Amino acid sequence: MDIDKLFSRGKELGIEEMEVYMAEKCSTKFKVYKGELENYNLSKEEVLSLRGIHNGKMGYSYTERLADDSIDDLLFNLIQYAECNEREHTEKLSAPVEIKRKSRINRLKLYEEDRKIAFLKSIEELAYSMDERVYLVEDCDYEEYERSIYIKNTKGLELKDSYGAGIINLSVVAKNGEDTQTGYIHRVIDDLSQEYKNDLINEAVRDAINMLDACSIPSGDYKIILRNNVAANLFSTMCPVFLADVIQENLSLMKGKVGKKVGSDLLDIIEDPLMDKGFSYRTFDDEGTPTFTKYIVKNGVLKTVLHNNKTAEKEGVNSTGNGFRISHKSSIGVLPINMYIEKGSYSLEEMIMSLEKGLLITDIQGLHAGINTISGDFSLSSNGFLIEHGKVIKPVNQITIAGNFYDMIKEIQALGDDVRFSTPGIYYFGSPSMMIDRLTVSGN
Amino acid sequence: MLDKNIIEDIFNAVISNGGDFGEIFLEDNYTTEISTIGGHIEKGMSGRDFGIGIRIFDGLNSIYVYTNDLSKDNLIKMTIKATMVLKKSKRDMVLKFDNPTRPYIHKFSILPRNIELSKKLELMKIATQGAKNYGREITQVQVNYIDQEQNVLIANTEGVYVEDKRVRTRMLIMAVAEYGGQLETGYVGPGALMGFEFYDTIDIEEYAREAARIAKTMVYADYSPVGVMPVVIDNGFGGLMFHEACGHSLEASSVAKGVSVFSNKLGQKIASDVVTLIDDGSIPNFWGSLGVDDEGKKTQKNVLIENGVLKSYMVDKLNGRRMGIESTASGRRQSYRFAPTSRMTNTYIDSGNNTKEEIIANTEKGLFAKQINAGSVNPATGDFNFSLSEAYLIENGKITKPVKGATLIGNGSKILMDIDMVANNLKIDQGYCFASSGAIFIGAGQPTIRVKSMTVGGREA
Repeated sequence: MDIDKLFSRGKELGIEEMEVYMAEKCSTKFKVYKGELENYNLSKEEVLSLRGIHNGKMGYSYTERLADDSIDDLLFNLIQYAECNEREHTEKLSAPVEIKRKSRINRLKLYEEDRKIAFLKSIEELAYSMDERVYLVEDCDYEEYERSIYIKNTKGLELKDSYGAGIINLSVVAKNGEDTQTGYIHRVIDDLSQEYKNDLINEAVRDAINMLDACSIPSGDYKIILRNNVAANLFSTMCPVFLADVIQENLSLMKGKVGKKVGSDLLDIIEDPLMDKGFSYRTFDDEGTPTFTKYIVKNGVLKTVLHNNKTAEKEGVNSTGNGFRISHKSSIGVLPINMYIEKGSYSLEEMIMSLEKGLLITDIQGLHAGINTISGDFSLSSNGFLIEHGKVIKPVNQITIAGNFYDMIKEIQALGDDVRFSTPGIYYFGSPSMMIDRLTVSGN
Repeated sequence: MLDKNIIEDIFNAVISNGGDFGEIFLEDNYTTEISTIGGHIEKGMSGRDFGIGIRIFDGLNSIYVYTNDLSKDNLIKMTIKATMVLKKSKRDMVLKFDNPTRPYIHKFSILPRNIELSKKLELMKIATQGAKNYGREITQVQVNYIDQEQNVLIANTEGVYVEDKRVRTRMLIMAVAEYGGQLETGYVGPGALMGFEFYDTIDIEEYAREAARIAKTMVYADYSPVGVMPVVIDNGFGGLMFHEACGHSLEASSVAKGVSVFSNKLGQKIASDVVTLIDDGSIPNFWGSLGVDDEGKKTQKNVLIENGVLKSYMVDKLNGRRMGIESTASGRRQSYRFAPTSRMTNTYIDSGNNTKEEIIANTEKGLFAKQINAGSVNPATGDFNFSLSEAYLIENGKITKPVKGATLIGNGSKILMDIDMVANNLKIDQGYCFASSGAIFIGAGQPTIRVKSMTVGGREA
């Protein structure tokens, strides 16, 4: 699409300022199954989102059909949106800025595709060889993407950035007689290393095998260790409570808490769009604000929440460079890129050894439904292990763990040294294993 | 929608490089998704999704290519690049297809893209006001409005060449109630495979009041008791339990490789006598319906479980190859960005012989689950969970006080045997389902049913 033509047609229709956001993504994805390349995916897409000010109000539209015959549709949709927009605070388009940071280099691009396929096949083979109770390696797939972002507006801003990463998904089904259990892992990788390979296989196979012959336990209050993957997925789901747009709409109990104690002294939370091994890497946000690394929580005190230009202006502060779109179909909201809890000083084994009686939770399900992100109440179907006198006694399933997120983060008693990130999604969150004073368990 | 010669060129490229089946899925989708908070437009926009997905089989292996660069050069280049991984030689195959057929079975009268955004916003404001006026406890109302006009063209090397139009409209209303520092939400989401005429068939204010009623009820509720007890699940979206507990495990995607708890169980008794489970993508204008599935096959009614006996799986083309059976028109995908796989459409438990009143009166002590929020399942183990958004205690055969924060967990193969009463008040509601071929629109329904015993999780031990 001819962007200059789009802008000049927009001006004709009375749109004062305009900005295009274009995202181009190429990806390759493949899956191996019983030694064969079972599935191979290839994609290439370019999409465009437009925003602009019409009669003093911001309007939005998008298209995936990047031909000049889409120009009028884009502009008319934008005008209709602007006419319906009643907000007092209108976000402003940014003037030109200089971005000093360089793009991250994607090491995965250095490998031939055959090497990647061979790497994946060796993971599947090793997973089968780990234990004879491995019934099926259900998913063993690799995805690699390269994404570039281009922003240009009528105030002269023009920015471009690109980044990429790889993800491996591995899920294993173990069987022992009639009993079936599963283990899985999703992991962002930046290289084809032996370390990643061992990690992936160990976790997925171990979880499936160790869970065999699990049973429920009596209901009651238990001391809990949330393993790193569980804590990461839980915090990832609750992540919106730290976003200014959510807070300003009264949908987060973090409202009015900046400068106040919200968590245990041990809790430090960082947001880092420039993290070397992150899922994404952004040097500027979708409004053109340069990004930077910051503490959100330090020693349990809420230092800042995340802002874009609009939410920052409402509170008289500066944007934290977190004005991002979830996709080209969404307007500019507030999003973290890579967010994590800083590691503590204990190994998971040390935490288990310190527990007289309690539960180690290794998997939780139903996060999209089992947490009320507004009240913080959660009740989640879980798997894990019963611990007594510092030792793992037996695997446990068919239980729920329940509590309240806001209470729980005040009751963190120890943090592990083992930060692990959540499944890559909208909120990519890392956490070490953590010990919690008390959660309610419902069982038999 | 796409020049027939280009389709033929793509298929010839597929065959030349050793593919034994080729398929294209072209999508042109006009959408509006906006959300308001407190009646003010906050997020979302209108636009157009546009692109093509090309699928190739070689036996049980498959390739998927998608792009929105529809130039002939790019399409052929990508097809060739992807099929090179097969490392196979040319197949003998004759292509034949005439003109696309349009087996439309659903009627639409007002295309949403012809309605101004301000009209849509007006409806959202009515909903917002309706919820707000319900009580002073209602502190926030969020409304999401969605419409789509998805036009698809599906063709394959076996002669399928069809077009389908799917027009969908839905409004999700969420009310937040506050009392004593506690926040609770109530939520409704009426929708249909219909155009803007949908809003002439429903009273949106009534739905808004319902969302507010749930929020207000729950903000005054105590936490649910936990442990093992009888659970009565009300008609409507309660059917999501079956969607999770056995629907996913009956999809060929988990059955074909022997992973599902229901693999190799056709003809066997897997549920109690009172359970008949149906998946029907052809119900006129229902939210989970389609004219043809996303592999171009006309949708149909599939009886999955009849009086407790497993009769059929939900099968797509590729998994059907693995299993040696025909597709049941269950191939679905979110968009051209996803290869289709077996998915649900409108899935429901058929009406039984009891009445809702009988079921409650026959339950000494237990939980009444009036509204289900959402859930998930692990199809390999059958372990499922879902959370309740509105629940009550049953004491001495009567529904008594509201309780909050309850999660129900169980195992699909066990719970199907534990259903002992089914009422005669079938109702099917609307939802979304997330799986490997993306987020799709589904119907879930049931009459009021009782599960003899189930684990209820929550905060009160």
